[in-house]
Amino acid sequence: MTLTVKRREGNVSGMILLSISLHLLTILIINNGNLFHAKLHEAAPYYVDIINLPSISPTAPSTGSEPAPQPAPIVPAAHVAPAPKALPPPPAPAAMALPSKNSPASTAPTQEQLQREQREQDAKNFLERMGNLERGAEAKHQAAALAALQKKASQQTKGGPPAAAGTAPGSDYGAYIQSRLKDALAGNIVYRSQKPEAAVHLYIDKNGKLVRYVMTQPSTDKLFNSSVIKTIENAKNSFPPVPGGLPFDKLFVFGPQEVKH
Amino acid sequence: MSLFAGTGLIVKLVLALLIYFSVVSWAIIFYKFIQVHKANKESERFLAFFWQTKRFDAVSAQIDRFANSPLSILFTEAYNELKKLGEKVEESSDPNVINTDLGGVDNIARALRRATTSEITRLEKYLTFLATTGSTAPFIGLFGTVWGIMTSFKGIGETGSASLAVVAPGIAEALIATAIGLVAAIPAVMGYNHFQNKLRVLIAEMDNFSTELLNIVQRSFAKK
Repeated sequence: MTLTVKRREGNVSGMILLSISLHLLTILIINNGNLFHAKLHEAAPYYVDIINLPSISPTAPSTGSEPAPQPAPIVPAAHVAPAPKALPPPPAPAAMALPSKNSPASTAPTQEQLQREQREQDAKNFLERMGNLERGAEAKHQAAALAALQKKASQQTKGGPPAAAGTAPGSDYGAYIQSRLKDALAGNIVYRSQKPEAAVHLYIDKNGKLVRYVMTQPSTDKLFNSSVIKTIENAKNSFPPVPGGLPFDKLFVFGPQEVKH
Repeated sequence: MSLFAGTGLIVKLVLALLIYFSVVSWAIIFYKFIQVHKANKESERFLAFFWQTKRFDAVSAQIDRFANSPLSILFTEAYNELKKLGEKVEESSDPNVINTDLGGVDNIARALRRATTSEITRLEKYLTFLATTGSTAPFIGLFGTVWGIMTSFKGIGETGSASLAVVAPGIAEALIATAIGLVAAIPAVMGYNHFQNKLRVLIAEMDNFSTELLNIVQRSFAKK
């Protein structure tokens, strides 16, 4: 009689089930634990009111017997940031508000309270003056920018094709639209072929709204064509109303670097 | 999960393949761990019992207790061959003596070699999958990443924007494939090396036991 060994082999399918459950558990832990999401530890912003700093105020009294100046009150950033636009003078900070009437000290104003009121008034005046100066500077800046733009548009019109005298109604407007398109082109243009060119006819109503556009001669580069359309879509909001109150339509030829009309 | 959901079709297929590799690799690792652990433990117990008993028929009566040991299989094969030889050598005056001139010991040696090879094959089963996973999974993951980055760059070209907000999500989604490839490959390589080392020890034990068994057969049964 032949001797045999009764072997009990393990089951691989059971191990596969175990492995699947282990993987599912791991995925669950990763998903719930948000392991792939970086947590940023952001420090709280610290604002400094540079306008109301005691040392800046030119009229602030500085007597030797006076107690140490209070720290600058924390105010929202909108009141402090040196924004280019003119802002209205900020309201007086809460830290410098007058004490309430319930306070026992309010019945008889002390020397300190008077000084504080004086400082508050000085700060108000200072902020008003600063606001006026900022508004004036901004207005000057805007006027200069407008003049430069008008000068540029007129120069481009004069350098146009020979047939255009630059005096026909809408001729300046065409140059302006061309400059708007050229500005938008720089941020959107994408192309694969060597020198793609696409001609697009734009129809603008008297209010400066782009009514429709037709790509009369598309380029073979589809990527370029789609970027030209994107350029027009981006630029259309910057079209001003047409001078003379007439609708405007013109053919513009788009290249990789320039827009011709 | 959002990273997985945002990937393209090819990257999803790559991820599915890598997850399959990982699941099967871990199943093999668990299975092999139990198999090799049992083989080692029962081999130790079998050797202790074998040297303590010193009688082949007593060992053969208890052989089922060591079913997972490869040494018990070697003993069984040698014992069966020995019995067959004993039955054939009828002309011998002593039925317990094998005529070595007829190649009796060689027959047992061949039976032991065959059993050893069979046991090595059994113990090495599925290990090739671990080796394949360890060597190919990183490359499959890399392929998924390259494909994902290609798609991402294509999208950048079409949108015309190359800001970090546009580029980063696509790259992050693509890099998931490499990460999963490494997650699948690293345990597979570690498991493969571990089990190869354990198997080397078991194979050496089988060789030693075969030699000892042949010596005992030669000393006890063969005619000088």
